[in-house]
Amino acid sequence: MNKPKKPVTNEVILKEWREIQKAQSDPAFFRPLYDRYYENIFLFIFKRTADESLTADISSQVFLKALQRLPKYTFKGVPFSAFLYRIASNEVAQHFREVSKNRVISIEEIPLGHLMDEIHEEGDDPHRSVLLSTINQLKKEEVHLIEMRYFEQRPFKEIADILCITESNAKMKTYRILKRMKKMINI
Amino acid sequence: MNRNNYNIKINPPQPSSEEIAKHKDFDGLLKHYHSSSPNPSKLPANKIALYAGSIAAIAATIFLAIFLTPTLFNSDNTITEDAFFASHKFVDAPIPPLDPVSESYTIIAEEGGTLEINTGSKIVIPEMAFMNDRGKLVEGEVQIFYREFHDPVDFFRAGIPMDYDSAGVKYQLESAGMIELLAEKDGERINIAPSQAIDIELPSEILVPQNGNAPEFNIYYLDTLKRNWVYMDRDEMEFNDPEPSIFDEFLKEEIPIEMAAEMEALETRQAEAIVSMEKSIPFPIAPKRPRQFEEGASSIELDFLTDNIKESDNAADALFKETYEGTIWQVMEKKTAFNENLANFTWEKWDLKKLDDQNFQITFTRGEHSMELIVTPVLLGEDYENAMTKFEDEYTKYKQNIKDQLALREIEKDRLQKQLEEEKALMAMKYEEQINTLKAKGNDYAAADMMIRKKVVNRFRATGLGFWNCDRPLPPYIEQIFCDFTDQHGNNYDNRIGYLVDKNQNTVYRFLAQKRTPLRVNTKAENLIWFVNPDNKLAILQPEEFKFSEDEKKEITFVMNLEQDPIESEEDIRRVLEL
Repeated sequence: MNKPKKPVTNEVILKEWREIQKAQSDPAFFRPLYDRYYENIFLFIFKRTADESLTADISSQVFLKALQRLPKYTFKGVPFSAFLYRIASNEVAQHFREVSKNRVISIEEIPLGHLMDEIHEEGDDPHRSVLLSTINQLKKEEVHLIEMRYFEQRPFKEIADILCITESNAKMKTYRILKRMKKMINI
Repeated sequence: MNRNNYNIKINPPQPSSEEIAKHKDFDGLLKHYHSSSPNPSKLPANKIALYAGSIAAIAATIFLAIFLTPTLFNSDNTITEDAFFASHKFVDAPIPPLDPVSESYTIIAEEGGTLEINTGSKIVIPEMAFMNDRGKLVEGEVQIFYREFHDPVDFFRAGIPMDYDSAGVKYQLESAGMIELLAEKDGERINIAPSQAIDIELPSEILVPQNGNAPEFNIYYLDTLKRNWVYMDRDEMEFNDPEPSIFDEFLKEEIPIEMAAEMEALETRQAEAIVSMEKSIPFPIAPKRPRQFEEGASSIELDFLTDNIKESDNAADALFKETYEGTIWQVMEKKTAFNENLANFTWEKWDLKKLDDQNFQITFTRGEHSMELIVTPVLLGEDYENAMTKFEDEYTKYKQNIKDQLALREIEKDRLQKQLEEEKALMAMKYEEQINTLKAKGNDYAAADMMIRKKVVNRFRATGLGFWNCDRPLPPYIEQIFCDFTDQHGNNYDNRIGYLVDKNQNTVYRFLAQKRTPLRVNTKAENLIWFVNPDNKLAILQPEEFKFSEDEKKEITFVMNLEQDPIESEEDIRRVLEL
């Protein structure tokens, strides 16, 4: 698998915390955070909706909620993006619950190939359609983890921050999902 | 056929950054935010009551209590210290990014396990030690979060309260080591099951009087609901090293370190002096041994060389003429293919190049033709014998010269060595004097109850998760001073949390700075005070500045030094506070 993106350094987190504190005293100072993360959040949501105008609506909702919850935000030693991604995941899930439709999973060929490498045994190359069918059977939380790790190439630290679990928990969960997928493919 | 739970799209086209940017509207977001903020005056009465009740319990209690119990205010209507701290988070890291981070470990609840921490601590977890919020025993993987605190910088960074209320008397807890132990299962906090306990072994250090007995320590647990430490047990503390005297430590460390550095500097200077000396006493150049013509070898004469050098030419040429006049040049046939026929050829140009002490390269050219020879000057017959006699004479002189130079160098080296020894002896005398002075002062230090650090191992059983502290309570000082705090820029520090460390105690006092702040301190101790300003810069009063006269005790103004740069790491804190 390609090397996942590097986790954010402590210095950056510290600098960002000062920005958040400023925004907590005056929401107008939220702008740098909004500018920094808007595109990332937009793409995160778009991959799950495949609809640009729907994504724009949900993105607005995410940042509005972030701003409303900002006074209670406390420093956790993780990037602010984790907080935003968490809200974004919930908003996407909420939307699909309301419209009773299937959530979109956007996959590119190369990351799919990496996932296939993780799962297949030596000499046994699962057909792509089998893999996609297996993904279709996963639970929402499992899909979320696989998406973030393999399709969005996020480091385990970031995934843990977004899901509010420990890094080792994130690794263990991913391992278990892959094991289950392997089993499902081999049945 | 399996049901499709998701709408999977392969390689879907994504909007570009420009297309995404079109959807950005921060001003619209801000407007929406302001218009969506709740306005309490528009809420029905029952919702107002609900709001009042839903504010954090502590803040609400204080809000109501202000109207019922006037003791929460000072006579001048400023909030009391107790009320202030009661309205703040109980464990409140003053600089959150610098709150010490927990280490995490995973165990299987059914198996338990022993965690060996890299600090030397040990955590022994029995089988089935945990239960969830619903009282059910937890199985499977459990994440343990652990961190330790040992000194005032650790306590300060974590914002752990060190005061202890016992029967209405406020004590300060001096720590012999503290831990925080937490556990989670799938991201949910869990607790230690009833009748279970986790054994902790925690190495740390305590400050004890130089010639006194070590005090006894207890185990306290931080009850965050009651907002107080709770006495749990006696600390099974074991001392880990023999009695070090402050002098031994100083003698072991400080003096030898300083002395070693000076010694090293001396040795370096010595080595440099020797090199310099050798350069100033160079060895003579060895005379060249004359070479005899080899029978049967080819040779040429190069008379035109010396004929072409006039007396008025440069010294090198004059030397060359003197040296090689009449010389026969033997052709080193091994190095070049010498064709004797070419010897009769008339050449137009020549070029002579010295290759080394013995050999020369001469190149003859005429038009397209050229001949290159490696030649060496040789002598034969009487010339050779005369040259050999001269050489032997010079060589004898040369050998004597070498001996003389070597002898001179040895004399100089000895002199330099003696100089070094004298300097070292002087240095040793200087340090011996220092040591004797300190030893003489030894009794004075003992009388002043000088504190020394001792290594200990604390042992206790944790029956709950959270903060556990190995402490002893220090009663409040009787002596009280009243002070105001400002800094070099004239900033006032009223209503800010101040921190005080007595360098002879392993604790941090926390107080609320106000007009005429009352402080109960050991005025003779090394007291360090600081504040954290909103930019994470520290305003510090070093012990040497903690000075005032008897008359001033009721009204002291301490001028803090506000640091220029914000604190960004633990190292920064230790450096500026010198802790």
